[in-house]
Amino acid sequence: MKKKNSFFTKTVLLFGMAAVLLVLSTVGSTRAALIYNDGNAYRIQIAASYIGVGLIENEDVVSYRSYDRNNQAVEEKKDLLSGVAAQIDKEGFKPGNPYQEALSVTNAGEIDSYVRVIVYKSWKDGTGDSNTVLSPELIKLDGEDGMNGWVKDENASGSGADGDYRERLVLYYTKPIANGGETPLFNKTLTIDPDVMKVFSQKRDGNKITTSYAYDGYSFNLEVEVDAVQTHNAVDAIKSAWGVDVTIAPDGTLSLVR
Amino acid sequence: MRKNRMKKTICLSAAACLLVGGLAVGRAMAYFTAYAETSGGVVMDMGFTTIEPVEPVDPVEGGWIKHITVSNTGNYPCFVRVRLLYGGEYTVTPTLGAGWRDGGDDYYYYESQVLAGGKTESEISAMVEAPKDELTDGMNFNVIVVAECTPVLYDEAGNPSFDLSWSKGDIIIQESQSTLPDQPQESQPETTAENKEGE
Repeated sequence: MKKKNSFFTKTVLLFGMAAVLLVLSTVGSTRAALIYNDGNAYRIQIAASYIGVGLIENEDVVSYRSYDRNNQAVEEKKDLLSGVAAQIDKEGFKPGNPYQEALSVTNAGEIDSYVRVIVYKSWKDGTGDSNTVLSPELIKLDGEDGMNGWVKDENASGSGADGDYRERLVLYYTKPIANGGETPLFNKTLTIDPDVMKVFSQKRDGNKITTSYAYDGYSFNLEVEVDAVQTHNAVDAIKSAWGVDVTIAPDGTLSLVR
Repeated sequence: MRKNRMKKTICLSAAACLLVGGLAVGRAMAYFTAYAETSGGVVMDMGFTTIEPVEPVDPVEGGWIKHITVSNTGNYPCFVRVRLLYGGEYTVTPTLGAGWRDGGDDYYYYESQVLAGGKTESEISAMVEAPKDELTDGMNFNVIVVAECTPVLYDEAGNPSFDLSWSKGDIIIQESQSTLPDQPQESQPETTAENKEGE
């Protein structure tokens, strides 16, 4: 009987230790500090580092998310393309004109991170519904092939009118960004291809011909998502968070595994 | 007794598996990640592109002169060109004003863009000579002006591009035909339009 009780106690103890280890394993990048109190006692303060990321458009932070000391999300968001809209409003639409659309990513957290961006291009009607017949390829970004250390995920990005992801562009920045740091631009300009003028119909009424363009009244749209992940144990973290395989060189350079 | 031991072993193994699995989940959930997103759009108010040739005719000694200009009556800046069609009984001698040039392809090109609501700032003066006994007042003055335009397209530097516009833009055609000088101001435009690809 005594032997049986001893076995039970050991089992419970082992389970207890395992549970403690399990809980401790979930506490990742935390910092502990001993703080002296006036009451001649010490207390332990544990503060979790936080991660944050933001999108910069034409030198203005248009969207960011980070976390405060209470682990509450802090975020702000503004509309994209306001500069392009203002320019078109002032000068009229210029097919083929490269409009400034300088985009980069900032690290708005406390820890270093790797980042990627996912850009969706689309045409929408007046009610905000996407039109899948009109061609997203005619919304041209000069960073589509990657620039300044950004690489394109060919498997996840559209390529040509028949591409599976013709409206999507996925770019990875190959270097870690230090807290408060900023990536180089992943895009500089946006151009509406002059081919939008080639799709039209004409209606004749006597001597008067009315030309209607297929893209008239539609809006060209960009949606940008910025993702950040910790640099510690980055290969596993990126696989877990983003579902992609990468390698990290000793100097921190990230490469996609094709 | 042996049965009991077996049970315990199975229970312990299952518990160990749970713990190991739980550990993996714990690690996955511990990764620091964040995201931010935003979007925006700009409505394309494309309007239309069209032109109107203007070609009053003045009688002069030995014939008539057509004063040809082109107005942009559309919503976009455009480039224009003009072609003159006439029968073999006419002799037509065009004099090109500033900004016009002979393209060598039967067209006369105006090299500057014509802004919406504007017109070419100089004219083509076409001296027309024809056998007088073949002409009577009010008959069709059978020299047809074909005016064509293409919306201004812009190069990578954002400048209006004459070559790009004529090579890639759609081309809209307007024709007009005047009558003899007793009704010199009346122009009767007859319009057609087509995509350059269909030419």
